[in-house]
Amino acid sequence: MANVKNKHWAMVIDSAKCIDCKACDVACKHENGIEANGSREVYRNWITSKGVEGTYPNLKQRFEPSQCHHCANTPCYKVCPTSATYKNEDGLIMMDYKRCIVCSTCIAACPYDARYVSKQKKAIDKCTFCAHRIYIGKLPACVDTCPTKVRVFGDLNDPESEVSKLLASRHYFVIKPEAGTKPNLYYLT
Amino acid sequence: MSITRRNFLKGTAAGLGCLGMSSIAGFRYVSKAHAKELAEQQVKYVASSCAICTNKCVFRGQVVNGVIRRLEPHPEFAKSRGMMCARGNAGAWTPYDPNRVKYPMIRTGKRGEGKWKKASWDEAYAYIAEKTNKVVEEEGGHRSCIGFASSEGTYHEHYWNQFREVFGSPNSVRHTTLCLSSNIRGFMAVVGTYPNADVINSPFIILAGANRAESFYTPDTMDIFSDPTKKVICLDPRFTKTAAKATKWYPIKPGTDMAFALAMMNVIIGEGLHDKAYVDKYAYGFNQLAQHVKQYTPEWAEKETDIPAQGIRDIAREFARTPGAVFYPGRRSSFQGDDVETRRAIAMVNVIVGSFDRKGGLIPNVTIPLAKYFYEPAWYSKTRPRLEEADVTFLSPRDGSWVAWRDRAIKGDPYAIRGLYIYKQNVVASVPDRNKTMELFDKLDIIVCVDTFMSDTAWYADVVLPESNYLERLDPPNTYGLNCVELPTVTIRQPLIQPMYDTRSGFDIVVGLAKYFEDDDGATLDEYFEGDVESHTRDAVAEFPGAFETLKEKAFFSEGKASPIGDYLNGKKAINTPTKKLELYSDDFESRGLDPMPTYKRPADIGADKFRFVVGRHAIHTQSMTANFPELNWHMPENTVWINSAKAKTMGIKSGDMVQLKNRTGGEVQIKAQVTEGIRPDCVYYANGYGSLSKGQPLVYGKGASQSQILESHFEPISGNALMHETIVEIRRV
Repeated sequence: MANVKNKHWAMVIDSAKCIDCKACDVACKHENGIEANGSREVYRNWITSKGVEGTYPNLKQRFEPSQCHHCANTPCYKVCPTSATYKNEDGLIMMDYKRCIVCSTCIAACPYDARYVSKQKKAIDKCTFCAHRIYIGKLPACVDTCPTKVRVFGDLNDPESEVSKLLASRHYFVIKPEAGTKPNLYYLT
Repeated sequence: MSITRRNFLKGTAAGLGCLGMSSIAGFRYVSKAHAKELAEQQVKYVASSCAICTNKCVFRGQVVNGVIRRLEPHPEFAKSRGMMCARGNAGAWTPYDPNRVKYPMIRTGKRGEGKWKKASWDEAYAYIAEKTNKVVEEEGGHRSCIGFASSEGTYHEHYWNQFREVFGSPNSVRHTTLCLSSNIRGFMAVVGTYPNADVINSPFIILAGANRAESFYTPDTMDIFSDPTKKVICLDPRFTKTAAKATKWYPIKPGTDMAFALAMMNVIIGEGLHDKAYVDKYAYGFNQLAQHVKQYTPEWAEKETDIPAQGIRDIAREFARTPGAVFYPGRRSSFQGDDVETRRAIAMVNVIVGSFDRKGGLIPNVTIPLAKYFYEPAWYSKTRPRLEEADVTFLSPRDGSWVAWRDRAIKGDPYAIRGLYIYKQNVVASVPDRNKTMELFDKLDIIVCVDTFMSDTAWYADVVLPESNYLERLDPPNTYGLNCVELPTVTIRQPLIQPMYDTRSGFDIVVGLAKYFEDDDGATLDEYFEGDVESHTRDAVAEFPGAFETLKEKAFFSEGKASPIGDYLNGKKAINTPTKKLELYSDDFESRGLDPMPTYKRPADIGADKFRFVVGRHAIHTQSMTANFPELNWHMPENTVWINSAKAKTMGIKSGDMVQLKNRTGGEVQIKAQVTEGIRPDCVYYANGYGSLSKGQPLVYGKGASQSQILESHFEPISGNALMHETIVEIRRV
């Protein structure tokens, strides 16, 4: 594993570019070997939409991609009774599947609905920001595969990274700031 | 409504209290079962190009311990801008589809009954040859009685076409007349080529019916939507995802796009906003056009299109005043009867503002010239002209006109068609009016279908010949005459894994079949085929040193040179029209009895309480091909018919109600309703690919409704394109 001590991984999402094509979902499932077997619970990332809003012909529809926020103040980590959920030095929230007892406390604690029960792993599972890819210099699969490059991934400790520059130059928000989770998923406005 | 993760969450929270945490050590054994996952893995990467739609995006295939794990976008492949869409990613599943066609199969039951016997390749070929030779003999020895269908996107299709030619039948029908032939014809007539739009450099784009957010075309989809500062005007009867992303959406009345384009020209020319120097120098017939469009005012167009006159005026002015503005040509243009003329009008809007061959505008394609794949022609004394030769003004001999051809074939006019050889075109699901396709099938003595999976068409065939999956085979080079205006590119496909079953490549299939037929001189037809796919690949790029090795390494090759814009304006290249000018008035059309300038004809009134059926794409599917992919189907397990909310209310229809749709020619389907604000009150829509007849596609077998079952079959006689928006339906609750 590369030296990750000084990293602060974050993802900056520009929902205005999202066309709801589901490339991120399918890429994630292949990259991480997730077999949903038709289950509608099993996914690590998703695109939310309220559907078509307004009255014909004055309509709009918005798409908001999301996944685990890798919160700095981490509710799922705090409640895990077996330390199956752990934090890397670079802030990534990871799962030790061997330790997971599928008690689902973390699922209840997560304000973002980012966790699910994996029958394959017999454990709770979630997005890792594709840790296995980023440690060898690749981008997370959802970032890499996206046709319109909605997601930008990088190191907030590096002022020259694209994520740092975007957050320095653009307005942004986080989801559910009231939960006090200090998430590492940022949304551009 | 299915259970969502949200519902699941509630359940867990309620159950929390009863989960004890007293004995953590006691849970340890759970983890031991998974320790073996850490086994060492052998990883290799093979670059190749996608086959799930026509874009052919290049990927790096990751193969772990001999199993394809991932198809990652190739970061250096310019055309797809380093992306893989949902379908491209899902393609990694296809070799492992348990319902693949795994060996040649010969039908034993009735057609469509699903009873087959496993055959060797030689048994299958012999069966085909015996049936074929018998009917050819009965028809007096002319091989024109065998029709050939094929589809684009497969690099082996030209071998199939070669087989048809040396076999001696002119009857070739391709996907083109179910897609974009009217578009090609319309733009050819005005600018002498079918250009691409330089959308990356265009700040203002009009999309009429082109649903680029859901109907991917690389790199346009990425270039339009990855830059939210672009102004996008979307005209579509349906609130598509393109409409959702557009700056402004107008639910245009179907079939009136020409009125919109004519009114734009009325404003631009009327207010003197056109590019006078450009038009003087490069255009032919401007004065006639200026006179002609005077009648088409925005106020007139408002009544036709349902787009407010002021909106049309504003768009026209901004379009003319914005350098690099483009009225996007689109791809599929199988809309309504005047489609060639509509496309001409759209091309002309571009010409009068000087957009052709200029940055941001319409850019003619440039390709890397490959060495031609040469083969000896075969000559037959008894070959007859193709069936529908007289039905279409500009008939492409290779594309034909599907609907016109099928109408003739059903009637046996002027001669009988006795067999159909189909290469990877799902004609049962794609040609409008499935009942008619079945009527044709009933008249055929032999139906051969080459495919990788049990499409509806394979399901109704007599012999199914399995082609190797695109991740298992070598495909010869493809040179983009398409979209790489910046970087002309050649791509190939190569195997990530060895074929899993008794399948063959397209080339090997036709060469094998060719051995069973003779030409007039008694030579077997395989003598017309030389070499193999690898030698063809080498030959094709022999002129470019290192290209073959680059193709093997990266699956694409480009000279690294951007093609210059403006060669048609600076005289280095000649505009490919009869006058060598950009034709705003066509003497050629006039001489053929067609309108020399696009002349609007109002679509027929559909009648009260009836609906026009419109078709359109969804980003997770490539028509019927991907509907059964589990990861894609997951996002839409069943299709539903979109009905406007206000209209549905008057009819007492709610979302989820089962409704019956009935067209004017005996086609009917039952499907669940989806009540939505996102469609015109006079239109209905449902996605393609569902309601499958084939049990080899279990996820969509009998699920939802098939589009080809509800579409009436009509075609326009200039290019022969099918008309997908000329179906009028009645709806009632079941």
